[in-house]
Amino acid sequence: MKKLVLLVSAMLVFGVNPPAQAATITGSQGQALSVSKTTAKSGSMITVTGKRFDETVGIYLALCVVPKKGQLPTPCGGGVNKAGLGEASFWISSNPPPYAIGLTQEFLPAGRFTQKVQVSKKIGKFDCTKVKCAITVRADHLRGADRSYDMFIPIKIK
Amino acid sequence: MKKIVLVIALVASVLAPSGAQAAETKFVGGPLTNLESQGATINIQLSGVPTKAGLYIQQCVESAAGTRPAVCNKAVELWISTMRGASFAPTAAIAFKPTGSFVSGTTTVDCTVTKCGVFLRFDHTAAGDFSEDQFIPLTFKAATTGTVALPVDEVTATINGVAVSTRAPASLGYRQVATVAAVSKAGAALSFATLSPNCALNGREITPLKGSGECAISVTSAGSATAAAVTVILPIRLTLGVQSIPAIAAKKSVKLAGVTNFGEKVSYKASGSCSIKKSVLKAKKGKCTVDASAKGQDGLFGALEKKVELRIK
Repeated sequence: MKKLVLLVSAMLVFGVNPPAQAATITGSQGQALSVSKTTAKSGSMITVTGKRFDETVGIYLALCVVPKKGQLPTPCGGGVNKAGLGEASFWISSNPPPYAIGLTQEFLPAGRFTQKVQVSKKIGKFDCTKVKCAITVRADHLRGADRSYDMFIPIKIK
Repeated sequence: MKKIVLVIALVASVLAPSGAQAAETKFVGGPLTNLESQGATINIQLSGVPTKAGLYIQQCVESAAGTRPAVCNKAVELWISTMRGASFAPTAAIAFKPTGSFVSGTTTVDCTVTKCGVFLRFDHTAAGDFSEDQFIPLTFKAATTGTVALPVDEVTATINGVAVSTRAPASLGYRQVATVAAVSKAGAALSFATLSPNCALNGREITPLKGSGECAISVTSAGSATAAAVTVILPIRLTLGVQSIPAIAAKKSVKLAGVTNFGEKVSYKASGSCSIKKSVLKAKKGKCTVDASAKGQDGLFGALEKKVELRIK
């Protein structure tokens, strides 16, 4: 496995048809969201990092079908994990409601986080090789209707 | 006949609460007259509540015009806000439960003798703003003998060992973890909650998530056989956090920390008997000066500017 990673990074360094490219986008509050690659095989992991997020606002992080502009990102997650917690989706909050303590990951200082998100081709009945899917961040259900925290980095699933 | 008069009085009082001034909040509620001494409920619907802050709904003894009532029934106070921990949201159907008599400090108030009422005011987040102050008088039936209001429990609280109250807020920096402690005079059970997302509360441990503004922790006494339940609010002012790096040892070869305690990248400059290569400090005998700097982040923490002088033997 390590060898493979080495090989991939070596390919990146030498620019031999880089199979995947890292990407970073900036949100409306100045927060930055990055992914380690924008093309991924179904079932593989994408490292997602965040910086300068507002630590007082909990977020969900998952691979979602890109919704129409201004709509709630849904469906999300992966066929493997319907509970919504685990490797396919994450709830990041430093201040969760009492019932959710232990279910959430905390922000690191300065609004940072790093998570490995497992992506899969199928999200419910949607097929990400046919519809547009993206690594998605949105405010958690405590601010479910607030679309200003939504961020999308489109991912091509192979 | 008496019934009709009562109904008219009720309707009149519901429609036109006396004492309402130029406040933006419209108070509609009832019944306001001939209330039971124990177990009365006033159903209130507010409208036009300003969004700048929450409100308190209190039961108080009427004060002189232009002053805030000082004698209030702590046990029935409601906090009306969209914030977590509030009793009701501003748009909710509010149930307010005043009592015919209550104890405030050492004073026992009998509302069948003294003029009591509903007092509306801005909450602690707009403490100096009196513009929403309204007093709506209430009347109570004579109390049945033998019912005496319990004195309200007294809760004293500290944050990191320093006494905190509404008048003496605590001050904490971004990510400066602090511990809240409280004692109930009546020995009642206490519960803690954070009233603002700016501060996380895990058990008794407070973690400020902002470096400006404020947050608040509430401590609620459940009350006991000898004392009535009460909630005290502990305001906290938030200040910029302090970035730091681990101490640099006076050795010939030292690995330097790449990031500060807040994860910001540190830049180093070395002068004197030392130099830096690939974030390792290489020093020879003599005096070595290392300048460390890291960016700050608005509203969270200041920049790091640190000069470390080392004597290498």
